[in-house]
Amino acid sequence: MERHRPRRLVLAAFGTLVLASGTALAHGGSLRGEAGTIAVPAWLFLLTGGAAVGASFLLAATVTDRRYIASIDDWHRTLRRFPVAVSRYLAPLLGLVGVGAVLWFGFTGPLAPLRNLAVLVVWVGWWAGFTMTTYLVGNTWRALNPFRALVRWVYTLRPASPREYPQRLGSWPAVVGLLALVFTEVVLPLADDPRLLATAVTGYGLATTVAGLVFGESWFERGDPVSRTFAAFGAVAPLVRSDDGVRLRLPGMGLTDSSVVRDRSDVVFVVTLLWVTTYDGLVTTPLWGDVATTVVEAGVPPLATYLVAYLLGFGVFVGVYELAARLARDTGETFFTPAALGRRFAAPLLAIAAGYHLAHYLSYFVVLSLPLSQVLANPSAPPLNPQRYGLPGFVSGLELAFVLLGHLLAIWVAHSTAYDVFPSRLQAVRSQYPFIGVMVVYTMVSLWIVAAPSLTPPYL
Amino acid sequence: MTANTDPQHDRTDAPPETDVPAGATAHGCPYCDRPFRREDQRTLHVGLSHYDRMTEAEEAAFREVYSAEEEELGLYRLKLVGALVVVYFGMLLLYAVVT
Repeated sequence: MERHRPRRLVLAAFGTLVLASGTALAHGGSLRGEAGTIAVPAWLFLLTGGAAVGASFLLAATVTDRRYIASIDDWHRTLRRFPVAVSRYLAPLLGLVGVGAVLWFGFTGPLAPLRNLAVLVVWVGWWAGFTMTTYLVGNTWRALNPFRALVRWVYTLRPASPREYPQRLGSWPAVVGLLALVFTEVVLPLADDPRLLATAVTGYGLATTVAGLVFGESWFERGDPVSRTFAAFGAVAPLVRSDDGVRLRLPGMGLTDSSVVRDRSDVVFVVTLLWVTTYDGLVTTPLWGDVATTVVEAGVPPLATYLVAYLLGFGVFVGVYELAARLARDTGETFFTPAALGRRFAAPLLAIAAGYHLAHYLSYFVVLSLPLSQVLANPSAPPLNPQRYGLPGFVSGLELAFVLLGHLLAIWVAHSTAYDVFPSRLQAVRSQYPFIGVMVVYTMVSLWIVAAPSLTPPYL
Repeated sequence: MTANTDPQHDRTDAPPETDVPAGATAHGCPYCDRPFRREDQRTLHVGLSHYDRMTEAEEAAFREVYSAEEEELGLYRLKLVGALVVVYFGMLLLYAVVT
């Protein structure tokens, strides 16, 4: 590994350069008109993002040393395992106390969202903050999940073997569940109405616990949308639980394991994860506001407008990905089926989803962590006028950098996987063309969403 | 190559799903039956995945194809650098014109 250092340095320096220019430009784009920043038209800013991703592919493709690529992939250290008491008792207890508090304060707490513990814990603490830890540090939801703990305790108290989870169901319940959860989150004011939020948490909790009681813990490994989401993000993280302790690896390198995406339902789940985070941002853009207003004024019910756009976009995402897999069969000159290629190259998309989540929620988390800490300090009598943290101006540039960073990681993971799959190195690089094309387009779309002013979606 | 060292990496040399269209010639791997479009791909595959079982003739063929590939890669790398230059100066010019 030592002898590769200069090359790695060059790569790192180049990457930083590309990123830095992208970030600087992004800054110009989002703060147009402000003194001292260069005004860049939106199309040029998006094109720059796309070019940065394309250029990083060209750079990654110049690295052709098989052993070097595998050494980055395989680098790991085994750390001491956590005490069993933490993962077996303390973490589930924390999860149960958490969900109990969310339900209690959701149903009985103050109605102002920034003064309500349920709203702040679920959205700021859990969906923004905790999710960040799952891809930046490691997935701890397995241990924390209160519903899984309930199921486990029921089975320890009453030893009976659960029904076997049907193989043909695959991850489809997770796909449908994730689509349903995020759509509910978008169309209902779950972040503004604590009572509604508590009802939604109860509904989800009941459904997943019942399914868990029927199928045992394998339900949380395959079918539970929330567990699957965190497990997917956890594949990006540097820390992972293994049989002989906690394994430390380079970020994103867990994505090259073929166990992350096992069948077509897993592929669709990964694409779904990418789509739902995109949709969540898409509905706040001014363009969507205009489109939705026009469509609804033409007589279509608002909810149907949102649902049709949601399902349409989902179909487009899955379709485009499968098309790329089909094209990769030709550019990569291989007899692998498009399905097999789609399976191997879906996992890198999780790095993109993680980068996008970070870009989307970082400022949200930082700004609202002040009311969150105030409410946690005094849940029953939070301050009457909750304050928020102010953010320095560079954060918007930082967000765009995270979007690009996710893509850069995905490019490297795909490069590494391609070298693993194909015997010829040229074949490995060429197989990536369609996927890179899709990635460049997706970068531009997601940069556009992140940089666009965020409005309240109409009719909701 | 990197298999077996790591239980997390369940990579195997078992032939994953492949599909040879009717009329296409497939070069099958003698050890794992995985089909390849080109003979040199199969030679490389044998050297990379079955290096512990391959014959001496196969090893010689692998070495030859591998070094030929090295040359081809050199040319390809030049093309990559060319494309990078085009992207870089293209963006530079675009910025000069637009701003």
